[in-house]
Amino acid sequence: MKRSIFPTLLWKSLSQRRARSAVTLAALLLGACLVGALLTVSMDVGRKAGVQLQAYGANLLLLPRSGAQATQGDAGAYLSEKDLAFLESQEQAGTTIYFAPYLYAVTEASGRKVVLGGTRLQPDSPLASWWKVEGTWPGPDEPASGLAGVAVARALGIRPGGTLALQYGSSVLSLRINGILDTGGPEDSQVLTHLPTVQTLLNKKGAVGLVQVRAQAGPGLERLARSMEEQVSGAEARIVGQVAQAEEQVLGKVQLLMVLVAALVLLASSLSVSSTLTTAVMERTREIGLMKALGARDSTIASLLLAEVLVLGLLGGVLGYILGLLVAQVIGYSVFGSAIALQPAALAMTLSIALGVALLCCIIPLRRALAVEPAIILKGE
Amino acid sequence: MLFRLLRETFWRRRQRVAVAILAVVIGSSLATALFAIYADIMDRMAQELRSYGANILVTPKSESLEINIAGAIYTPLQEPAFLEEEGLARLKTIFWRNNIMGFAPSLTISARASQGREPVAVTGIWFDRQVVIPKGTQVRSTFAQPTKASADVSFRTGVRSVSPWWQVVQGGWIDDTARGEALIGRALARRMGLGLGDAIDVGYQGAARQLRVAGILATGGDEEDQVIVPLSLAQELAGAPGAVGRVLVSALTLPKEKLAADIRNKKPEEMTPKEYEKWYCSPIIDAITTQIQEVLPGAEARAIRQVSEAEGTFLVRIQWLMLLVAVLALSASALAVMTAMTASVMERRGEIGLAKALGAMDSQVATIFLAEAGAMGLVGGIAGYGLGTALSVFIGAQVFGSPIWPHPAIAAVSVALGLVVALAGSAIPVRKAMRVEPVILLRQG
Repeated sequence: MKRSIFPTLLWKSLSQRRARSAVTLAALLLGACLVGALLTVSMDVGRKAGVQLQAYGANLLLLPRSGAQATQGDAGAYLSEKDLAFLESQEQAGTTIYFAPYLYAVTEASGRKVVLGGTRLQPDSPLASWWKVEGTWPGPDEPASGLAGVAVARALGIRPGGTLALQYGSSVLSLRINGILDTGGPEDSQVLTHLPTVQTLLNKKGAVGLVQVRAQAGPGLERLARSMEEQVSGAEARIVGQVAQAEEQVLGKVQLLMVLVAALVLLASSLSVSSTLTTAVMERTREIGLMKALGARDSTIASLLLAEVLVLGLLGGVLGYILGLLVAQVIGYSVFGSAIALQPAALAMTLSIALGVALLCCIIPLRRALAVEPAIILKGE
Repeated sequence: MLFRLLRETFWRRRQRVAVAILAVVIGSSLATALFAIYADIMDRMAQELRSYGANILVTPKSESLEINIAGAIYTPLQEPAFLEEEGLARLKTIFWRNNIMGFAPSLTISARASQGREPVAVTGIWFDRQVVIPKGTQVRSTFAQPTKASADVSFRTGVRSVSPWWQVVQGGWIDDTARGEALIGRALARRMGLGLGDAIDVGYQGAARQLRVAGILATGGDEEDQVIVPLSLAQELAGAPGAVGRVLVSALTLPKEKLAADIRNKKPEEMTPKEYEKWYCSPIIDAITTQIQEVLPGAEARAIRQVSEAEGTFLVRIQWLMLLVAVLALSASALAVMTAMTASVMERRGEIGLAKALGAMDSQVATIFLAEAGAMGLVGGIAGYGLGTALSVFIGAQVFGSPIWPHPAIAAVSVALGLVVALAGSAIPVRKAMRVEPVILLRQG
């Protein structure tokens, strides 16, 4: 008998006090939305902000173990381009690893020494995001084209579209300069072209002098460095201290900040939800008195009210989380220009907080209402 | 009369009043804390980033091309273009001198080493030096007029503060006055088979020195293939006293986006004098490099764009994120305060009916209710500001190691917010209740 009437009671109680239920639901929904959004954002912010710092450039360098090509001049040791193939497919913690192989030659142009670097000229790589090119990037199908650093262009009087003759030993490379490169770094006094062009000039097919690698910051970087040393024969992987340390520390701070803010908002919204819920239960003291006078047991009344709050908490939690997810995406797109990843842990936390707060908040006023004599409650004193 | 009425209702309904005030306190403390963090975050993060290296490179203005491949310097010193070590203290006299967090001059020469046939790059550097700007030095304290420093100012700087990621993995740091000692890069040490305490002979043109390896250095950068000595020793070897090849400067800057829109994309030479002054007095990297070039004639100061641009976008995004979060939390707590106030008025519809039945005018009833809401909003707003201050101080200490104090203007905003939201939250239900006939209200109550 009780079993069959319980859902009916629950439904009636919720639907007949529609306005009150709606206010409680709204408070729960708002709190869950805020908590869900902030938890989702704070769990993903490290990765998102890390993408912003990608513009810092390489955080890992791969050099020949027996001394960088640079320090030994053109006769130095080289890495094999073939060994780098494994980097192409490598993904680390869901983010792509970017890399740029370099091969250098010290050449002469109109009597002055100029460093010629061969690399992959990828305008959209994070390893070149701060490069400014006046003119155009050399296309992949024009091997004898390149970029001249601003200092080289100034010293030799080159303009975009001009040609530059570079002498290396007895061979001469005639390079079409498609653009002038301004990086604010050492490339400003270099000439860059495609990697195979320099390999041909040096007569070193498949050789690479140095590889710049951009990977996700964090503890995985050290592991990646070790695995690269195993995969690329004769290589030494060097973590660029400045970039790696800066990222790890700064991203750690951003993450910590967001977590603290999320905790703060969580606390605040739990408190405001609890005040709404407490009032909602307190208002029903008369009803509780009536039920007791009609012979209902304490446990029946308690389970009815708790079930009511449970339904509201669950509904508010789920709807609030969904709304919060939308808010998180709005934040993701407007701040970082990309979606925030779904965080299952955030869903679990939001739901358990919504339910926990809802139940906790009705237990105290409920116990108080149950302790009082029904006659006194009904008299309204 | 009004005061007595308020006191009575507050006392009788103290539990309800406490709940409503609590809602206001929570709302305005969140607003205070989040806006305090928002206002400060860009400076804090910029400072944080500055401890990870230089963002400006100062080199002699020269037409010669640098032959530098991954740190090995090929440029012969035959047409020397140097900066003067003497003049570097002037970096601390520019308009944004307090934003110069540190600088490290260096001089690199390509020397012969007895061990191995390859040339070795020897870099002389300031490790940790005291710089004194003597009393009476011209300081650009305002845009228009330089003043004279009123007292000696001393300042410690060098590579150990500018590049804190340099690590001596074996042995220890050497002194700036050391003559017979050197640090040696980890990769070079391995290649040459050198260990702690071993001797290395370096020669440059006529000069030669025997140095004892006092430490093995790991930096992850070019220095791992170099011999690092005090700057004065490198100058002696090169036979060029007081010469500096380049200076790394770490300056606290804000992204260009912080400039007013009308001058953001203008070139300095196209600006009106007034715009130029505004630009010059903004802590952006281009203004600081201009100021460095003013005090160091013959020098070229360039932003290390890789660093400054990455940091610029990062800072702008993080600040924007904090603003969104603050607005979000604020609107949610405003809604919560409004519901609390509405609930508290709705409960007392019977009272409104009674007052009207006894002949009170609508304006009198409204005054009482709004005065109540105003008092609660004011008390809650002030308490919320106090709590919010505590929160932002706590978060600042946790995240950045030093407290964030909210700007005084935030106090006004926070209290005003508590007031406005509390008033708005009760005005709507009061108006609604007054439209209803008193009899109906009384019967419901």
